[in-house]
Amino acid sequence: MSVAITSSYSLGKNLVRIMPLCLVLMLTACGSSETNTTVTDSNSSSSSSDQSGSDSSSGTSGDSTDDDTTDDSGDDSSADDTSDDSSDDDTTGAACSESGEMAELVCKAEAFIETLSTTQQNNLIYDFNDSTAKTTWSNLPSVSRNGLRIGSLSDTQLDAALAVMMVALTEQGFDDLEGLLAADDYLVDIGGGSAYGSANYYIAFIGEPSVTDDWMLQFGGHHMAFNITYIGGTGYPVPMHEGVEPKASFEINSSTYAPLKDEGDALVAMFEGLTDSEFNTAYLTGEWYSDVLVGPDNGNGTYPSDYPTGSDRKGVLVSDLTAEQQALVTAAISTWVNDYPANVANHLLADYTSEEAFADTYIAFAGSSSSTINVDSNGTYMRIDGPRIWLELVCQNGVIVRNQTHYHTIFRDKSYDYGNSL
Amino acid sequence: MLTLRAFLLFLSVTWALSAHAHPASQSQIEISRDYQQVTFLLSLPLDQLAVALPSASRWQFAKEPDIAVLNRYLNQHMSLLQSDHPLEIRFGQSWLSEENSEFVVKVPATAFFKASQEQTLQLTYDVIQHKVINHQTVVTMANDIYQGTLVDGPALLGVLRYKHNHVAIAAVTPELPVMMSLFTHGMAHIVTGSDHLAFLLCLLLVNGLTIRHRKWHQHRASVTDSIKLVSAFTLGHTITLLANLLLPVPVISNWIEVAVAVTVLVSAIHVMVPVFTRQPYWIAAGFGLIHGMAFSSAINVTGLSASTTALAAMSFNLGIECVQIGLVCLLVPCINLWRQTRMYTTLRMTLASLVVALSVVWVIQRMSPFMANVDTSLTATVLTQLLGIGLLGTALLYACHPKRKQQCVSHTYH
Repeated sequence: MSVAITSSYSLGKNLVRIMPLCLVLMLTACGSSETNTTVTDSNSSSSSSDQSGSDSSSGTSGDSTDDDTTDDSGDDSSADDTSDDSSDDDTTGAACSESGEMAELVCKAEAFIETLSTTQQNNLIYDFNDSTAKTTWSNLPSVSRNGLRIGSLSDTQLDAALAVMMVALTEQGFDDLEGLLAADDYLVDIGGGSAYGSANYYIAFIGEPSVTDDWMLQFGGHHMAFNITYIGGTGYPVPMHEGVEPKASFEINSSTYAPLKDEGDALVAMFEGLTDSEFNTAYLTGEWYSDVLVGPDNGNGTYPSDYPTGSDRKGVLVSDLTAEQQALVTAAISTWVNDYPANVANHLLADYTSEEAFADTYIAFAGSSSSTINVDSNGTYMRIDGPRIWLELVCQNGVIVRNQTHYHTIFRDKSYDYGNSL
Repeated sequence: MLTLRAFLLFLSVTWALSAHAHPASQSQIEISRDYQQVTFLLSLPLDQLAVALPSASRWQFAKEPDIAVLNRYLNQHMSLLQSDHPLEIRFGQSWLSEENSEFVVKVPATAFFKASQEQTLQLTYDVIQHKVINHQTVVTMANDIYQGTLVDGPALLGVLRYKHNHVAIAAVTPELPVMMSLFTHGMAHIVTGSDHLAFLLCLLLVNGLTIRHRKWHQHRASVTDSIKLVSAFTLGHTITLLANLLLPVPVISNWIEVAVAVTVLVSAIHVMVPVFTRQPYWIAAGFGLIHGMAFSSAINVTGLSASTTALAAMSFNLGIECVQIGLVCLLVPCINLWRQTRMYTTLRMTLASLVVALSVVWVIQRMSPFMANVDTSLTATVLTQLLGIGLLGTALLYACHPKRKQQCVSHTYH
């Protein structure tokens, strides 16, 4: 028996043998790519069931088209209920008239959840222990955000979402919200690009809305970050970012807005109430701010740690001021804190403006001029630095509306950002 | 590492968006560390720099920075320490570049350190941020011969900002571990590179066969000959790898990848029907030249000196060579066992057919940008599984035919 084998196949025969193999293998390889694509797609759409995973996929606001298609399917499913929803909305509105700010807020939040498809609900609600989600917010337009994109909601759903914010904020606060959304729409109208616009704002719940349990309400986008954490029914609306471009009043859809005028004016009034020598002390010599110092947390899951300390805490001590001047400081703080109802605002205002707090609160400003505060000048910067409150406003050159400056502001609590729940 | 990458991604997005969304741009420092020198590339947004250094506002119109003024300023705000001893930082020819419609001052800098001391380098830096309090500088390590980041892409070292004006460039490690890391990278590269594996398999399948009447005739393969053959391949890819790294020639890497796939295809056809009649060593070395060009994309050596680059490439190639010799020692005895059975030609033809199929897929895939997403890991898996089945088969063959050796001895190879 011989095991000597010779290669007796001709090339032609070989090719006949090879071809089916080649075909099978090529099909497998190509097929695998399709499978992969499907998997990826289903990942992004089904990530809703995995809350932590849904952060990035649902929040990639830049690819709004993808988001739209994904979320639209949810819209469609709930569109059938639109008529029911609107009647529901009426009834929930009535049902939510029960006493207590928290009870009403939770009622509105639950009513909003009711309008959503299961997928949307999963995308909306995060685990309360998710520190990454809590700290995910930014002052940039096209970055990943939590929750549901406003532009993906049906009219009914949007109304229900805004109803939540209407209860979470006071009239003053809700006016700001509307004005800031309008400003972003205005930027789109004047050719700023599709990254701007109220459609690219998001709403999210970190934890289930509850009267007694802890949870957090997030609503924000480019120039807005409402982060309100409720700890046992007490609200901590920090960190809070607001910005506006254009800063001057503008008109869109026959309405006129100037959402942060009160805040800017109140801070300017506070400094203009100082004597010349106090004004000089308040000026941060040699310092320049092209943006706020303690800006967005960008999902880093931690508290900021780099506030000025010791001799770096510069400016005029509020307790050295007259009662009239101190009233201007309180008025300035109120333009932020009074955006929120009593269960949020009262305890904060008391803490921030107490005699003890003012004994450790500095007001300071920076900019190209040490003798005046000109909000129309790039680099003009004002801040209130207390034992807890940290409030900054900076005037930056316009990005779209280039002939005027625009505001960036931040309001933080050194001890109670995120309700101290990270 | 993943979070670092995510953070880097975020930073790069932030950077990219800065032009149209956020006027306060960040600075960047990209660091590369060679054996005894560390190089920096500073990117300073001109509008922010002009706040700290007012005369810089004129550079926009001059289209170039005033290097003397700039270097004097940088010397005041940037220092590097090794074991508490300051190292001299030499600033190179800086230039003005326009990125996202915003001017950025680019400054190259170099400092020399003592590698033998194995100490952490401490960068102290408050350029711009001494004045612009909110300014941030992202520091990345693009290449570090000592940390093996040479092959892993940039790593985030830190963000210099208010109250943070130090960043540590971690202690250096002795040279041997560095070379080891490149050596293992070379090993990993060949083990996971299914196209190179397929090519090697083809080389070995016909090694020891002779061509008669345009057909293969059976002979026993020699391990030594096989090692010579794969070494010829190594020699080929060493030449082009070194040439490519030391004399960077712009090559379209996509076409190199296509060429690699074509070499696999041709080799696989050669396994079925002899294509080349010349010495196999020349063929292996010649094809090695093409594979070497592809390898050069696997290691990133920008910013390193020629000697380090050469050493890096040699370590990398040594890793590849070791895996190849290992494969020879593993596969050649198996192939010899199979050659003693009637099934060898079938096996050879089957394996070659599979490789042909794979390489055709690779060629199409690499040529067509529309197929760029086709999963190559599948092909790698298929190949690995086939090799596994082959090895298992060999083991079974050996186990089931204990008398095989006696039979073999009596046979004449034709």
